[in-house]
Amino acid sequence: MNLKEYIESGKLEAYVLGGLSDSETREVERFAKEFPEIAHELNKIQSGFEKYIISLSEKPAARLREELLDAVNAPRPASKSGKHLGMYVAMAASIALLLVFSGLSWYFYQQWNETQSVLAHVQQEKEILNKEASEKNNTIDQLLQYKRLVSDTNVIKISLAGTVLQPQAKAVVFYNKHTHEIYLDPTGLPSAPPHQQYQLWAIIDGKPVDMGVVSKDLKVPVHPMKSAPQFQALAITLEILGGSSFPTLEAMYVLGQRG
Amino acid sequence: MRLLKSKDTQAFAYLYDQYGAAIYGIALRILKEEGPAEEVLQDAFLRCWDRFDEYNPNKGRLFTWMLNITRNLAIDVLRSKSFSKQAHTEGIEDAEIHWKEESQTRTEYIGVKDALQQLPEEQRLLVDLMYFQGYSQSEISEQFQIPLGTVKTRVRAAMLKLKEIFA
Repeated sequence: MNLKEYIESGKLEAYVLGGLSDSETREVERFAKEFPEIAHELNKIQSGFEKYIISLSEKPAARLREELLDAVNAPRPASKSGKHLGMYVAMAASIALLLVFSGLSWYFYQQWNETQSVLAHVQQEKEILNKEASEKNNTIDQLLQYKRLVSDTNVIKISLAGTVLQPQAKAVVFYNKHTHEIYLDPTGLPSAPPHQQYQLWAIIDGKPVDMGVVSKDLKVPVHPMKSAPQFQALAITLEILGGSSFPTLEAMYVLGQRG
Repeated sequence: MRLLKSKDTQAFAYLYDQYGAAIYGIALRILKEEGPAEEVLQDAFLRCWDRFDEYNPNKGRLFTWMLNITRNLAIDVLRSKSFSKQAHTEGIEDAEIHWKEESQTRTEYIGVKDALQQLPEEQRLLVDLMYFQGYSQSEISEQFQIPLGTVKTRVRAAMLKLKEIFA
């Protein structure tokens, strides 16, 4: 189709003036949908013509405004075509009302559903954020604790070096000379197999004494362990979950002497 | 619910204040009598209000939509028997009057302020017949014995001229 020819045919102008037959009207609307150029031209003609229409404006009597607002506020008056139609009007009104209510119910139901899903989403997000925040806080707490240990002059640092079993394994123990508290930094240990966990031992007078099991989360840099008034060496072995009463020496990963 | 309603009323009042004069202007221009024009104004606003959910912004501007509703209502009134008895002397059936005669009687309706006055007579009459009296282009062609092509050309020329005036 030649768009230019169509635009210049006068059909679009006749469309705006309402002078086309139904089928021609539909044709113009179809073309306007299909061709942006036609839609654009149509829009131009329409807005130009509307300026003319606006120039014909006449101020209506003020009472008309009041009457209209009353009519919109009040229940719609029955049709002017007669009293015997009242029944039908009432029925139609009931049906309309029913439809409106069903529509509203559906609408509110949809809204409610949507709100629910938005809410669920927001709650989920909030939980994630809370979790992240508390994890961050934990990390910060741990780092602060670590820093306090490192800078505390009463705390001595004991490095535990890897054994033949795992030469690159290492661990650090912080020991407070006054309070005898022991903290373990296990971040240098390889992760423990599923059914096992590490256990810290203090060698006191040649005998191994249980200093507690190391929780599975080895990323946490400060694990508080049991306290000991004195010891000569420290060792970590891999034991069954919950720990053993005697160390499995073949599974000793790190060992360090108190300097 | 009351809040919704009062909000509705506000929106309606806004719509009326925005477009009331234009709607009344076009109704008056079509019907030429205050009483019927006032009725059309009210009917048009109530209808727009009732059918607001049918308005599709993708298909055109709100004002265009309201204008169409108003024009259709007014032309229905214009063509209704009771109205043509009191105001109009001829219906479509006996409208086969010679162009010249016709234009003389019809153009009297066009007000002095009306920008259509600035258009050549044959264009002015076409716009008047088509938009304000609801004739289709083929009805005009048949009843005034003007070739359809000429009707189209004049309509386009008229609209271009109007656009120029209000540019």
